[in-house]
Amino acid sequence: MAAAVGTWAFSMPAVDKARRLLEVGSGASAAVQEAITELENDKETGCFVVGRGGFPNKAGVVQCDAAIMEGLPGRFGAVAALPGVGTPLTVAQMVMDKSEHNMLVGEGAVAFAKEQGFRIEDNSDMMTEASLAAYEEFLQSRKSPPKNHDTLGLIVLDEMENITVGVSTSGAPFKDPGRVGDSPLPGCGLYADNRAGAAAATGDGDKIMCFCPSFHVVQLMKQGLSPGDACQSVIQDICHRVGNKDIFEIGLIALNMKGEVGAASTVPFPYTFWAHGMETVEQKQSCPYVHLD
Amino acid sequence: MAAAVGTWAFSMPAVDKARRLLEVGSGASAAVQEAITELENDKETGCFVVGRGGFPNKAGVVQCDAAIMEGLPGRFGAVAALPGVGTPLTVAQMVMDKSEHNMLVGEGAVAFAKEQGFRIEDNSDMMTEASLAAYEEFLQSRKSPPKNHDTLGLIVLDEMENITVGVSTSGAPFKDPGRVGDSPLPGCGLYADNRAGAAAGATGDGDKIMCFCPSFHVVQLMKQRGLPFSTRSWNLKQKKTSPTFRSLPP
Repeated sequence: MAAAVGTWAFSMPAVDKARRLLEVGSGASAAVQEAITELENDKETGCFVVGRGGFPNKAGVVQCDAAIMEGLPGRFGAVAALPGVGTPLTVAQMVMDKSEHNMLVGEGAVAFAKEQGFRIEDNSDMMTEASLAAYEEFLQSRKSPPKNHDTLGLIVLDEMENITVGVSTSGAPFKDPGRVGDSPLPGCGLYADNRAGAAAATGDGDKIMCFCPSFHVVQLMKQGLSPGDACQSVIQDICHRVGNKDIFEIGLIALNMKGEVGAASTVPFPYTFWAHGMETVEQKQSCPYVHLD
Repeated sequence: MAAAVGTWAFSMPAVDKARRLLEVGSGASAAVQEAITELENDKETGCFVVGRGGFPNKAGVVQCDAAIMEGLPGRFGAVAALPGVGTPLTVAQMVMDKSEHNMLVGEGAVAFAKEQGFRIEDNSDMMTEASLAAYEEFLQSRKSPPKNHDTLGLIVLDEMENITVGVSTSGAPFKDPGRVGDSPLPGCGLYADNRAGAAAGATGDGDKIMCFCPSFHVVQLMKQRGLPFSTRSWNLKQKKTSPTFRSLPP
């Protein structure tokens, strides 16, 4: 049964795009690629820390991370610290489909993108007035902007029971050059296994990567937990491990092979969801888990 | 109870170094760092695809990946596609200890290493006659060398029940520039959780391994099964097992 789920409220157009593609028989990966690309390319959504218009690193350069994973074993592609490409998810998909490797970073990722026909754009084309202003303010105050939701994560299940998850981000605003967060790392920002489903994570990428939450959620779904219970269990486990004092921002979404959705988080976490039979995409909200030490 | 385990036969000197350090009360992370660094720096072990003397990428540049993870939550540091540093594990440890981030790649990793006082060496100092010859043969034949065991993975448990795992590799010989395999990726090349233990995965095919997060998976299973293990001796006799993973529970 076809379904799609995305992180944060701003994913609604992406989930809606996926819905329209699924309704005319598109496959999961094509739907993920088209839906994410539209959002990456839109400078307006750059403020959500995705693709073109996203925030630059400390040196003023926009470096993006993106990855895609299919439910079939071994189907994974990622790029990280990739400058000059406003639609990094497609480059990640090409790494999955055309490279003998699964992850390319930095200048190597640039070289691959060029080989695949991408034009490497000037950094100025990757920025907007808003991101430039935010960067200049950062240079003055040395303070990051208030949290403005980051990383687009999108999971799509198609009618043929293929599942694909994609993630895209410009990374932590004003990060150190070359910094990679959880998003493009398999098991951390995303994971898919067609025996169980797929999951994606968002939030404080430096911390999230230490817990491999997406793999963990999929493992629990494989063991029989619902997507919601799996996400909740992983969040609880993380909270228990780190304790209240060191809790960080994390949100998880998951979809199983029946098209059922679940989410959990340590912060208020909206997500958007559609499944076959629903008229429109709905926005849901995960309430933060409160851990009692 | 202190213990140490390393991947492949060539890890024996590293495990022995860890043994000697543990016997004088060293902590797990210090032992991992010193033992791995000695092996990374040794051009003779470069043929095992680790650090100085390891194989270059397709463009002839040696780019290393390394990572370290402690059993305490949130303690992780990694570098990937890092050129010009023969001892990348120490840079990864500095990422863990001194950076607000946990993973730095490419030129960003170079910049960080410089800030931390590393000299970025000429690529020629990262190569040996053997790796240069292998690269020239690759250019002629376009074929990778026969499998020659890669990635040093080392897990150390100290007397204070701290556990640390470290991995270091120069990556798949003649890989595409910027290629990152499983080694420096948390949950893939390595994982540690002091509620259960630590694991490190090491085989040739890092491109494939990363799709299965095997190190995290192993640690999860150890956590679930709570298997008691018999005490391990300092027997440094080589052990051979069919699976290519090593795991160490506390």
